[in-house]
Amino acid sequence: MARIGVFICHCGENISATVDCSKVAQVAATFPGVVHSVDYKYMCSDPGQTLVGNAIKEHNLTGVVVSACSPRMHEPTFRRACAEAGLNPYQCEMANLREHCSWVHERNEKTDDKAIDLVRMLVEKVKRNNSLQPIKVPVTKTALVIGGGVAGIQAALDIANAGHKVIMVEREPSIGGHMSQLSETFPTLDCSQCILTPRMVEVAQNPNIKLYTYAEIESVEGFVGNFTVKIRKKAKSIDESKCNGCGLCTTKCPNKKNPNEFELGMAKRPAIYVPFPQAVPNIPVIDKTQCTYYKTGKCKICEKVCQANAIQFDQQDEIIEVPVGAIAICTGFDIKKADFFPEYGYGKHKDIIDGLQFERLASASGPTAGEIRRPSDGQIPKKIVFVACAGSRDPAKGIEYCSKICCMYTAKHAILYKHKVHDGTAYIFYMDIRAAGKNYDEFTRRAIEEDDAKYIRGRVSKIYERDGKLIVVGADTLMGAQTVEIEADMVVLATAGVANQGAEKLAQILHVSYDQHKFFSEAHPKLKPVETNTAGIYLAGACQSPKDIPESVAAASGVAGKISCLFSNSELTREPLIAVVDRTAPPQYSSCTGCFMCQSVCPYNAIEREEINDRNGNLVKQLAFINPGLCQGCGTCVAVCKSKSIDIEGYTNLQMYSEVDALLNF
Amino acid sequence: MEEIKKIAKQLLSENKIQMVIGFEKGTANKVRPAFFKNADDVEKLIYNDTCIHNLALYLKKDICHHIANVGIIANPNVVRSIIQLASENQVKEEKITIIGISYEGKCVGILDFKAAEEFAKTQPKGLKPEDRAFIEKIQAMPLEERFNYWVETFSTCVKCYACRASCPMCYCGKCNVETNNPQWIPVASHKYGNMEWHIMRAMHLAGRCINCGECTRACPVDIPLNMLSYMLTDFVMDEFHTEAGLSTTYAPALSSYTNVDKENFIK
Ligand SMILES: Cc1cc2nc3c(=O)[nH]c(=O)nc-3n(C[C@H](O)[C@H](O)[C@H](O)COP(=O)(O)OP(=O)(O)OC[C@H]3O[C@@H](n4cnc5c(N)ncnc54)[C@H](O)[C@@H]3O)c2cc1C
Ligand code: SF4
Ligand code: SF4
Ligand code: SF4
Ligand code: SF4
Repeated sequence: MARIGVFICHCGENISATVDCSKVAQVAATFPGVVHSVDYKYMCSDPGQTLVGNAIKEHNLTGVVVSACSPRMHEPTFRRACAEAGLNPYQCEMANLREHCSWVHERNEKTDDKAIDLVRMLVEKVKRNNSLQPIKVPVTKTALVIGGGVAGIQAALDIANAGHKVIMVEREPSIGGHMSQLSETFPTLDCSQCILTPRMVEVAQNPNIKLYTYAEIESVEGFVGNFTVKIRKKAKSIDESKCNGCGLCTTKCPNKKNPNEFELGMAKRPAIYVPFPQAVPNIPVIDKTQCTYYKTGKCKICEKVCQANAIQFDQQDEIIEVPVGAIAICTGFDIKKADFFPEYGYGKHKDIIDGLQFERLASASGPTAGEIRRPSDGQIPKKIVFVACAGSRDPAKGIEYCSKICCMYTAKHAILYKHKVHDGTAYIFYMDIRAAGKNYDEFTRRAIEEDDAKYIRGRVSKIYERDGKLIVVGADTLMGAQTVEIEADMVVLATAGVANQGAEKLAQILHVSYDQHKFFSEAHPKLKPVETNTAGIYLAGACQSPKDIPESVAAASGVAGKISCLFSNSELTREPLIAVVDRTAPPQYSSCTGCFMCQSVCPYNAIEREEINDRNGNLVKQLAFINPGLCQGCGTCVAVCKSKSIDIEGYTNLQMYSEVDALLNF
Repeated sequence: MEEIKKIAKQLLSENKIQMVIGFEKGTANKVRPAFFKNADDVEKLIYNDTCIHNLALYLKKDICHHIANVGIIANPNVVRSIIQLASENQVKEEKITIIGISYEGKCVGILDFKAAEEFAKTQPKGLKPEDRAFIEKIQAMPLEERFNYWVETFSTCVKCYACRASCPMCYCGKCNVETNNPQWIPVASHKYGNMEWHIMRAMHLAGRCINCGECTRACPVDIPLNMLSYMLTDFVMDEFHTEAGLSTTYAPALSSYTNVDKENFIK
């Protein structure tokens, strides 16, 4: 027989000012199965909890309904109080008399009736609760970091320094990401390479970090603490164990006229190449689409010159499988290219470049050795126009968000330009100057006040060529939208930051959600900024939304903290509120028909196929099996199962039905 | 018919199959489903245009359980049923031999699943002009009138569950109407309880019914059940551009999602 205790909380006056709590307690005492019913001012207070605990012991309660605030607030509190008094914590339920009743209604009899109904529903539910045990799952203390930009590097180093193993997978031949392409960085103007390279080297040297470059994620299976990841190591055509990074091959390769990706097409590279001098690892790859040998079957000069015998033309992609316990997504972002802008000539004017190209021009290791020279004829531009918000904050272009970093790097560009071209003039078209951040506003003021950047508030409507000059036509909205025309030598577009290519595919492999712009979604914008909706998968850096370096690094350390917490236990404890498929006696074994429609809807890939075999090993039936480590208890499968073979523990069909029944048939 | 017999006999005598599901002469000049286990029996097999029952139903029954390979005389409805059952993991290609019959009654020989899919695409569904007219009449009704029409129509249902028993897609071992903890559907037959049963049935068949019409033929009180399923088929086609019974990798509209699904119903 059920012996239920009901505990009505006043929540100070939050509930009692609207609901007649003692009346509700009196009526609840008359419900079948209720043996104890009281009201109290603050049930969550220490004495309140003691009240619950004592009642459990004194009245031998089999179930408890605390009628108070939202279970989101205090369910853990009361479940713990019950557990301390010796009752299974899952025999405790909460009726929400605050958010669902007192806060949304007036004080009158109907409100009391509703409160009574809410309590009755939960009493009927708790009578059918099962005593549940938390689920324990083991943890593999190795983290997978996807992407080796500054975010990935920071996350990997922090996790490794906490004493855990890290596997880093980077799709390019070197780690470093966008930061390795930058010249100097706002707001301090440190040289980007100088602060990044030591970190890159640390990654290569840390014994806890295993680095796979030129590699991609092929598949991910499993669940928090227990993922199995397949990594595709793309063939570099180099035996990495033999190559000593001498670089002779890259200097001797006769096929040198290939567009250099790192320099964004503003320089050439050989078919066998290391993307940039500080690359980690310092091992070349052969670009099979360009290499003469792969194209014509003749050449192999690199093979001849290599002293270490490291060239392997017949190398194949290799797929390796690794177990990991947590995953950090650090795949960064990309920017729109000039060809996104019809009004600026679709990228056909050579001297209209994007911000990253400007970074390369300003970089000492770049194609112009740090001199600002325009791509068309190598002249030094005397008048340069920077266009902020190129594509960003422009719903017509489908990018309504602010790319956040452009205001700052545009100010930086104007400063760097002035430092290098003393007699030049920089104009900046902008919408607003967004420089919120430590020393950020000071930085943009410095561009205006010390480095003479000419800020014009307005959008650029078009850019066209006339007599070797780029005519930039815009409006100055601070001067009554007066048209401005500038005859520029070069134009730099601060183009919108967008999701990296392949982000959507990766999200689908990982089963994490992404937004309409294909940026990865955090689990909660405020309280879970580095978690995804999938337990054990985290995100950091610009893969979430455009971010600058400090933010990316902070998020990466946040992720490392989360993962270290996860790895601090050898077992994970999970709430047992998950789906289960019923079992019945043979020959049915289960009412499940094995249609696997549940499998196709489960957003967490938690449903597997289980085979029932007879004693001779013949297949009798296929059933759905729900992996308790993966299931998040969302209930989607319950909704599609026609034979009602699935129940969510704690929210079974029977429990839900009883609640509705208690409401309708009273 | 002779050709069907020839194929069936040969398959049985070569032990490629161990049973054929087809038709034989029944009582009162009617045909009835029959199960032939040896080549001599096949003499009794008949096929004519009264052989309309959806034999795919039997593939999920005990009689087929321990048979390594079952041959089945399959008109387009049966073929579509088998394809749909395969997409729901209920039948396995290596355990079935389909002897295909076109809607004109012509034998098209043995079909593997791939060929069955191709075949099904070329066959018209058995929707008669008067069915179309009926559907249009119902759809022209204002919502409330339409609802009342079905309430009234279903009120005569005696809950014999013949419709369920005859439907090849109603293969659940334990149907919801037999679940009593909780009791989702009332046992007794009454106006609203009947409506609950029929709404549940329609929802469970939405996007899965292959429109064989067997349910309506089985109903002793002449409820045009399959018309409701037809309407749902149309609806699924309009909204999701998919149709049951044409592909063994089919994902039913109500239990699958893609990133291009409509979201216009979220208000
Ligand atoms: C023009 C410009 C100037 C800037 N100037 C500054 C500045 O002065 N100061 C500042 O603070 N910030 C600046 N930024 C911002 C800075 O570049 C970013 O904050 C930083 O690069 C973000 O780091 P990240 O690691 O998140 O991403 P990224 O740097 O984009 O790195 C992502 C890494 O992941 C790899 N990757 C991507 N997809 C996959 C995959 N599927 N599998 C494996 N690997 C993958 C990529 O190859 C890359 O190595 C600037 C940005 C731009 C565009
Ligand atoms: S939907 Fe239901 S019947 Fe189908 S496989 Fe899943 S649990 Fe089994
Ligand atoms: S409850 Fe949700 S997560 Fe769990 S198995 Fe069902 S659909 Fe998957
Ligand atoms: S028409 Fe009737 S019997 Fe045939 S599949 Fe549809 S619901 Fe089942
Ligand atoms: S066959 Fe007809 S009477 Fe029988 S349950 Fe179905 S609809 Fe009702």
